[in-house]
Amino acid sequence: MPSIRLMPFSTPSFESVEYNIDVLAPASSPEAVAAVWSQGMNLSLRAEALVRESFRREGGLSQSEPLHLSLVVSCPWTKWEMTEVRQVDGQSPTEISAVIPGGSIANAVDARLHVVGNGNRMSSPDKHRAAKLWTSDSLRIPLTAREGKFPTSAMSFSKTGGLRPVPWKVDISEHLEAETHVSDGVRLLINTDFETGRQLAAGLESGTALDALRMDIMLSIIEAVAALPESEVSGVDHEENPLCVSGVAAKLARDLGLDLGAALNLSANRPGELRELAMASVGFLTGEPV
Amino acid sequence: MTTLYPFLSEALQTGMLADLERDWLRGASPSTLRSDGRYPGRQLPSAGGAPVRDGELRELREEICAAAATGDSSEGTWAAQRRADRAVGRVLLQQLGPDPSSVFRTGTWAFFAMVLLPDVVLKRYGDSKKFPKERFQDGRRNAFSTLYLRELLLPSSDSSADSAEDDLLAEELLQLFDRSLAADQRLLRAMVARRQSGPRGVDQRTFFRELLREATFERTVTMLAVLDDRELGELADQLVQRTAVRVSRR
Repeated sequence: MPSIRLMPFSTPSFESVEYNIDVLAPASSPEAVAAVWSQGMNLSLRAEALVRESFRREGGLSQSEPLHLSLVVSCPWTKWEMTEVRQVDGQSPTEISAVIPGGSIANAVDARLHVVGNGNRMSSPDKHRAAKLWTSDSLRIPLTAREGKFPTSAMSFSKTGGLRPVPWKVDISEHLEAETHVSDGVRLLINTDFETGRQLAAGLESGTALDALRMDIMLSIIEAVAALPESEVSGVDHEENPLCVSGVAAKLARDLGLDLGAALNLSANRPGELRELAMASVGFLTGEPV
Repeated sequence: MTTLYPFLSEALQTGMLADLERDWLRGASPSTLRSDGRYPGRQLPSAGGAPVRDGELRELREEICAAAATGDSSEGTWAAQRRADRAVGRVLLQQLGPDPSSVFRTGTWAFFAMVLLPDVVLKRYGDSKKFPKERFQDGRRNAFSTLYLRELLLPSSDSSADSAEDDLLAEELLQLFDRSLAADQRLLRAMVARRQSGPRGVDQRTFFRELLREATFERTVTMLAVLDDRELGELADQLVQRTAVRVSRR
């Protein structure tokens, strides 16, 4: 049954086209993109559509009438849009791939397919050129996940300048306050000059290097908070504000089996002991449990 | 590597808006202003690039203050304000770069308006009877995002920037960015090129507004990407004719 739409030409039913839109990169499903996408990352999509025989009948179109499939990807925030077009070829599915430039999109993008051809106007014998004869549902692909990941920037240290040739650095803001959000106050810089850094940046490293990195993060954050005035730290409500640096330090202290005050005290007075606790907590170089 | 700009959470924005409104009612300068952009509780995207430097934010602020000040001329006119808006748009594009990905993250335009430049927002929009809340929030009414978009999509060099006629159409052009129409550069330019094609005796702004409405409808029924430039030009002329008939009938 032809769908009811306010179009000035005859439109075939929604069911007359079989289609799907897939994400090829950086994830395998639209819902999973947000967890791995980061600002500036390209998005690769692939769409496929099969125009059924009923399509031409329902739209009053002859067999020789050329049809096109178009994929429109748009970002409502940046007002960016791209359109890819392929000619529909007979009875076989038509495929379109598109790479969406990461610099142009933010928050989410919408992808939609259209079948385009000359439409039969209802009010006159004229043809409606390039009519959107059929439109798919819009697929929304969210890009921004919950900010749950540890703030990280991967870069070449040798090209950045001011950084020693080490595999990573836990960079603490010089403007740190107890209430500074962790994403603003602490950043893990990963050096892509080294293989270990590249593995860490790609999330592929899982052995000793990752353990050492986790220890470094724990100790660096506790140390940074220990250097803040005590009154400032005690004035923060960590339940209400768990992602400020002192809130994160409190969580890390708990992971070490301490309360925040005890961890800050160790960091200031007996840092070796704190390091030991951290090594034990991540199971550093202990191998498989016996 | 892209630049990471700060953003404000919803909760933080709510508190800051209350502070800003209180300052505005008292006629005090905005207490949320930080000229280096550092505000406790602001966030940065957790991955993707390098955080913006304090110095860059300070420079952005200085340049925008300078550009906005060009609207304070003794004329005090609408035209001067429009010129200043254009100048601010140019600075934004120059300083923030042409990749909107970095600045359209939710809460980033609110950061620029509430933390880095609240005094500029209030100077431009603070004279109204109501507190200009929406000028601080993300979205189409934000004091800066539309100026950035306008400069990105329709650079001043391409239109008759600073002319009286540009002022006349400025509001309509800004409305355009609410519409999906702004995403189609070819159509956008075709419409701007035909903005004076209205029938005699019809207000230019009314004509242009109606023309944009006609073009927006056309986009929902026609896939303009499959038309070549000549066909698109023909279609644009038809839109002009249809609009002319419609506005003349009124």
